[in-house]
Amino acid sequence: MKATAAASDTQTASADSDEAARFVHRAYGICGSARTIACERDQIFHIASADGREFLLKIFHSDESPDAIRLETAALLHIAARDPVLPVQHVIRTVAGATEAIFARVGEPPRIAKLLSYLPGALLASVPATSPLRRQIGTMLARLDIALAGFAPEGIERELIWDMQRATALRPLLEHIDNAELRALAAAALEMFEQEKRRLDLLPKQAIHNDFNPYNILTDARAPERIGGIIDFGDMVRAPRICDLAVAASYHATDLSHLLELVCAYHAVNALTVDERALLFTLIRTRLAMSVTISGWRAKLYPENAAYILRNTPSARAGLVYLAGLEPEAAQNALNEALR
Amino acid sequence: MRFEEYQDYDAVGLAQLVANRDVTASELLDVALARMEKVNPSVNAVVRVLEDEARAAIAAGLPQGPLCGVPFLLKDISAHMKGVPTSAGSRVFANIKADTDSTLVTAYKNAGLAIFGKTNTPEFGLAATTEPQLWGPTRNPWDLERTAGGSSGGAAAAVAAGIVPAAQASDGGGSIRIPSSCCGLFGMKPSRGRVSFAPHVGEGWGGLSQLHAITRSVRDSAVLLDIASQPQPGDPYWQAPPVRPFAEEVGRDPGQLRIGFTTAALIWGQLQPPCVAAVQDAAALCESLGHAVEEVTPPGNFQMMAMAVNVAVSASIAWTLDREAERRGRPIAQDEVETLTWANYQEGKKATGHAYVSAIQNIHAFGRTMAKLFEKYDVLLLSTLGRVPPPLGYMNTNAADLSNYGERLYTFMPNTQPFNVSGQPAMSVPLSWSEEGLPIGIQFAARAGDEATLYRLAAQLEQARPWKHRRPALTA
Repeated sequence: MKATAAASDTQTASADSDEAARFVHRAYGICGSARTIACERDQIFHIASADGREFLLKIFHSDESPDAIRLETAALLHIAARDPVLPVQHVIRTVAGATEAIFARVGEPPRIAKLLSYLPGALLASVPATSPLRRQIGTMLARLDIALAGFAPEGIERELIWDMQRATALRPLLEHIDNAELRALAAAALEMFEQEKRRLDLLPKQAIHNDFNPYNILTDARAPERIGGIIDFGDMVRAPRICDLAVAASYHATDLSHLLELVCAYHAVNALTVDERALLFTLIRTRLAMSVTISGWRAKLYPENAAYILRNTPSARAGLVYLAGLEPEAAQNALNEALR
Repeated sequence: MRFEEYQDYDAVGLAQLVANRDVTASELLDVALARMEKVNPSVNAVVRVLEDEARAAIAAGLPQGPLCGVPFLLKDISAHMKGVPTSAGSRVFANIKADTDSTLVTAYKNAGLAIFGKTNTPEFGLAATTEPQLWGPTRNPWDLERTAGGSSGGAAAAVAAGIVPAAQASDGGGSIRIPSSCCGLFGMKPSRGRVSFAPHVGEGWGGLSQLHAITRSVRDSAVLLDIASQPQPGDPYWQAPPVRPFAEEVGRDPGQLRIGFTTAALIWGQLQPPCVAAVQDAAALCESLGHAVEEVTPPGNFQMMAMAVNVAVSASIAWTLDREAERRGRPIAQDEVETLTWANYQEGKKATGHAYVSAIQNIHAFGRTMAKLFEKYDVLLLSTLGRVPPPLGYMNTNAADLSNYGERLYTFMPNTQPFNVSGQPAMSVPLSWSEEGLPIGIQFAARAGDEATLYRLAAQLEQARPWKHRRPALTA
């Protein structure tokens, strides 16, 4: 979900699957076949090695910032060291031991390539949400946040439109929300956020995933009631860890009991302080407001892609409506009670 | 008063300002509360704010005691305040209000302290870190990703973060000394029987646990112990009162002490290099101050000792939980407590009377072995901890799998429990900082009943190597 993902002119010809397979052999010493996976911007290949292993080859767009690519790699390496059984992709090293390879053709700008282990599960967005899955989301995110706690590379303090700490900067974009009622809901949420911002700033910060949505979570191929994969670390940022939970919870915000299942499971692994609990509802609404605002704006920028860009808006809207309808004190009490 | 001035004073210093009418109790409380609002969201040291109670006490006129007007915090376990719940870091007790003040709390009130909150503790004080499910983790002001230690982690973080100059604490296996070491503060665990647990119980954890405080200055600790050491009728045992107030030991020449030191990790593992270096440095410092210092290998079977502690502690937990189950007429369910507590509860329920007495006898035998060592030495010098404060989560008390918990725990705290078992006074003194800027406390133990020697030595060390100016760069 990158707001900057403009469909800029491709300066490079797409690699075909044979070329990708040869590249993987040369760079990684892995013999196998390649199959293209559709992607908006980068090129992605599924690699099946001759000895039965599966990988994902990512050849990044030449405009992609090397710093951002390396940040993701560093995060995956850090997580693998801190919590080796967390289901994130493993970074495969080249024959030279590097964590990235350069895909170069004569006369074209070189592109950074990365080989990762392949996670076989289904997207969580493609299966019905159940209580066990919601609890698994909370548990996995809690473990992920614990693993990310010590991760403090240089590039993590960056300007990112999806950084909740900067939510008020989105105010000028509210006008791109066509529906007046939705616009008012989003504006109210940002208003509420501004009032709580001072308290948010006082909370401890760490690196967070920042996009724990059902398109970035995979089920376990062997046990569909469990989570088997966490992907896409592209929105990572340094922020209060409660923001990570607010993002994840915002995708389950149309039913208080569903939301609490996720939050309680998180709390059982990575306990929340009283100050964090007090901000959670505001932050969930903030994330939903950010989502509808940024989507509304991007849909205007890329009208041809509007349907795809706006795919999450109806559910975000439902969440905003639902949360705005809750009596704040009763909701907070329910949360406090559930965490007891 | 501005915070920058406030943080320059210890409790005794603030009390002098109040006595001189340079500042009022109410103004001091304002500063403490403002500081708390600023730093508590990141450190999570204070978990229950009692502003109304403190304002009412000030309005009613605080007693003109030695610490009149000084803002103060209680640890949310063992020290009860009438009408306020004592959670013990547990959901089971989170809403049960104390029927009466502990005599310790009464003594603090009589001393003029303005109690305005309760600090975080792990469930039943069982852990060497402070990360309860009930309140969430306390963070170390020196590095927010690391533990502040435990179980008095909330107290230590509150002092280190500048909310208060001193805070009440308790120590059943290192719970005053561990967080003092983690947070660069002074922490004295008094002798067995020095501070009364009345009127709620006669002793804690079979005599292992002691009440006192974590402070920045040595004299605050001494003055607070003078306030706290008041044996009560009906106490099962008590320490003879000191020959003079502890406060008068501060600044008094300790003479030449015979100090034995060790770089060993007594119960488990070995010290990390920075802790070894800190011990050697402290030994050299003591020598330079004229003390007779030599290396010693402390005797005793420390693993057997730790096993005896386990029996006494888990049996005590079982008693605490079963008594509550009986009171409310409903058994304790597994999901009401953390996994470590549940494991202790189950173990404690299985322990036979014979096993408990065996444990107590082993505990007492260990005390005699240690007493023998102190025929030759006045003081034992050793590292408070086995390593610098680990990251939060390292000793997760709610982990589904606790199989290597003991190893992680004792690698961190190999040296504190022996003095709970022997009943001796032991203190952690903030004499070293690691290269990365983390505090390393040095532990000193003396004969049972002899806090006086430790206070004289501590004051000498405080003067020789002051730590008052060392503050975490906690920017809110």
